[in-house]
Amino acid sequence: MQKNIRNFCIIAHIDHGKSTLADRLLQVTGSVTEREFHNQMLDSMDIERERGITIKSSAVTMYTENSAGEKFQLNLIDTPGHVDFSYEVSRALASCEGALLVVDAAQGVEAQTVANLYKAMEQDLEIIPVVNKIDLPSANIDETLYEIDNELGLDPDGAVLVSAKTGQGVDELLEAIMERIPPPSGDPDAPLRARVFDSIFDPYRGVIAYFRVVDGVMRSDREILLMAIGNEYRIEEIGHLGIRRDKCELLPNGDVGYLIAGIKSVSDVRSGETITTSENPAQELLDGFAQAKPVVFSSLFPISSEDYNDLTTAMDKLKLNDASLVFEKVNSVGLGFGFRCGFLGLLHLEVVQERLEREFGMSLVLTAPTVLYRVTLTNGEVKYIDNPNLYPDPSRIELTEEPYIKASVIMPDKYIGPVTTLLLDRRGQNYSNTYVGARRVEIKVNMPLAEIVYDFYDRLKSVTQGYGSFDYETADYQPGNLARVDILVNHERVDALSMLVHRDRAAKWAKRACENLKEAIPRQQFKIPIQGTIGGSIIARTTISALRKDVTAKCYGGDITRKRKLLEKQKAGKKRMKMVGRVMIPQKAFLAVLKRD
Amino acid sequence: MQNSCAGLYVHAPFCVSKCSYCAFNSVVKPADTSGMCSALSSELYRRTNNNHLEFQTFYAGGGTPTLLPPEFWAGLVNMAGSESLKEVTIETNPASADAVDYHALLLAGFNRISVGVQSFNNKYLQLLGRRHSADEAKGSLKLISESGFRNISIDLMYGLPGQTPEDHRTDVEETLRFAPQHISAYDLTLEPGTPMGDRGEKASENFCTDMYHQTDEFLTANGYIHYEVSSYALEEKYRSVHNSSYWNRIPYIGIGPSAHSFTGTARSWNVNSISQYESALLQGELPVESSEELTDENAAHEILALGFRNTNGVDLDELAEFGFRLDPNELLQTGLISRTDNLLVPDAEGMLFADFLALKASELLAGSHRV
Repeated sequence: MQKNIRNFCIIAHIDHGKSTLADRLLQVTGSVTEREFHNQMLDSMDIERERGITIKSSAVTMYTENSAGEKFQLNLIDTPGHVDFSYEVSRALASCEGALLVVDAAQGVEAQTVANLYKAMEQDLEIIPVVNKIDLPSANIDETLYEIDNELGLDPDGAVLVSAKTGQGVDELLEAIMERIPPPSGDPDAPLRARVFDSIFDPYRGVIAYFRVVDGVMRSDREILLMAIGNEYRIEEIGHLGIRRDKCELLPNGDVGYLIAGIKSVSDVRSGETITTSENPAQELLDGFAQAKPVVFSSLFPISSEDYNDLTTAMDKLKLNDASLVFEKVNSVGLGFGFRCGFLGLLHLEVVQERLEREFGMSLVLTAPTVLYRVTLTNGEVKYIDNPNLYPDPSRIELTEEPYIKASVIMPDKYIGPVTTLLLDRRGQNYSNTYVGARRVEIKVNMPLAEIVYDFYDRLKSVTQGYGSFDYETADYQPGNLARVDILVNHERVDALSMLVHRDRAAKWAKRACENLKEAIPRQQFKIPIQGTIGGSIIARTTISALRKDVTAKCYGGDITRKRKLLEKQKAGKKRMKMVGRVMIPQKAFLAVLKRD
Repeated sequence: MQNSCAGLYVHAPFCVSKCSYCAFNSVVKPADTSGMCSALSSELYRRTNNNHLEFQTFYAGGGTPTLLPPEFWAGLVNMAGSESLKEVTIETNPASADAVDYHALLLAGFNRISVGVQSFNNKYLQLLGRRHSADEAKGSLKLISESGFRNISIDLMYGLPGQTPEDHRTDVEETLRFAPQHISAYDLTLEPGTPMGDRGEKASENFCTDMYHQTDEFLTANGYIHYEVSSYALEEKYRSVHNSSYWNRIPYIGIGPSAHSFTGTARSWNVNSISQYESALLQGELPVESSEELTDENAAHEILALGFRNTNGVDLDELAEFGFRLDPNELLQTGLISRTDNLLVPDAEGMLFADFLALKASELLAGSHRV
């Protein structure tokens, strides 16, 4: 059996057709009936489907046979396609022997593809290059094969040409998977060791953990021990993952499946955890267990303070199926009680915000996202600061450091100018560029993480007309000359608007923030000064003039409905605003401080 | 429909030409208006037949209602029940080319006339697309007065593009020379889809506010009562009873294209299209486009949306009838309203912030109510 199992994943840039290819494989192997088939089956969350991206990984088992009639079991392990979730990607890769590297024939190799390929190579996976979308009129197969050779260093002769959309080449791809990807090589007689690569929360069954059997076999009638966290559970159910869960008694060595064991929260069974049996435990953990660290921080407040308890409940529920989400209670002078949250990246932040608003009906204010600063005090103490309001008094600070990243941008060479300008504007250092294809360039640069947490992707997309792709890995901390800019609205400091900013840019930043707030805050009955300050000195100011009247002159005859509906619309709109002192601040204003254009 | 229906509004949808700020439902008058006249009569008949309605007020608006013949109006006023009617108003356009027979209108039963002067400055009259000059307006007012009308209202507009508070003051002074019983002074509202609205032409907010206060100060100094954001009456008895019924949620019937009706618990409105309006009635149907039953919350919102616009104010007891309590302290702190018993009454500055007050009050509403 073991020799006929193939575990593989698909690596692809967003939009290069990963989900379509996965769906096509499911369909061709008969794992899903025509009636069940709908596009992008593997992405189950609404948000994923809408944005065409995969956030959570999951797995699916397929059965097929090769041209010689030999039967095979194929386990496809899906991976998140976004840089924010690179930790989850590496856990999924560790559970595979092979990877399909999908490249869009019309768009060529992208930065994220390269980054994930390197991760796959580190895990010694067999890589099968797949050139997708060959049915498109704009497909340039030769150029794509050239890039696979030159840019990725893979043998282009081994590439399989497919169209996931039409199904062309998919049979050849299945044959290549069975022939070229090696079978699992674990020891079936050793004590059980299974690696968790993902888990989800099911309101009826508790946590469902997805794992790969590395050593030994998994039996359904055992007590298990989660080695890293040290908890024991009685197995309720194990099985294979299909479009539905397919219960079984035993998962052989090398197999991929799911487990239900009355586990209450996904935080109890993190990606990378090692499962063994209580009666015959393994000696050592599988390598690769590490906690995903939050890199972006923001505070969430309910628009209406009365909703704080509802928000607490919603956050706790969200935490049940999002182990990466970390949060703690905060109290803001202007905004009341809320949560300081850590996220894996901006996309993660947006996903959490959307889920809170959509699934839990919350109306939220989010403060400007910030990174984790390292501050050495004059007494030698080192502190990590994730909230500008906790930034120590400058007289007590010996050194402030900020997190840096190694960024890589790949784009057609005609965009070198605007991309370079953008990167330098974002404080990029150690700039280098190389041609990776005939007309495509990769720029590498070190830059502060803080420079990409807001609108960087959007700006990059806009200056490259969508052709630029971006990836990064975290690098060391570097000293930064930072200052906290405070914003005073109507002479009151709004703590939720404070930001840590590079000192040389503070004045410009404060001016822009004041102007943005002037645009975003509606005029009120009194004039509202808006000031940007550092340590009490004003470095920028503007004023929202007072509204001198607020009435429509005429009632249109007997049309009272029109007046009433206008009032009801305004009333609904005000529910999206937060009262800070006497001033109504709309939800969007809290992020407007960061707007650059 | 209740028996005590206070008002009847008749919408005459024709004008000689369309003014450049106007978003009302009106079209250029066709050669033959008899179809409209019979449709209006037919609608009134259908709505009042078997209902024994007694109207207190009759208001002929538009459009330019004087473009329909006085004999038609005489018949309609008669149908509405001339014994119960107290205030019978018609709007008129002071363009001499319209050649209105004011004496005939008086005989038709009208006892109040609202004259759309808008300005006594030819520059602004042209800008507004009015068909009359300042002199023609003055001539019409003289004629109307001589024909026997003793209750005359003059409409003014301000906040016009390029208009200064001094220009506006001249308009108000000219108006006072005619000592009208009633003055309506409207701040120009830019309506999308109109030539002026699309050009976004209007005086600055500061000028408009200055003109509002100037009107208030000047007219009250001359004995007028500022009883609604845009309305002034020379004596209590000259307040517009008909318009007040809109603001005080008293039932009314509106006939004509796009006219609105209110039963006390439900609102409905007629189709806009003149041809649809006429053909519905020809087929024996009421030309109603849509209607809505008001929830208690809708009713409370109406009370707020309307109440702060006029000195009748918002009645806390009336809100309570719909199951709502309103703690007025925060509103009183704005200094824009005062409280007498259970009435919250705006002053002149307060009426200028009526929408603000309504929004604020709507957020303060509390109570058990049916939704």
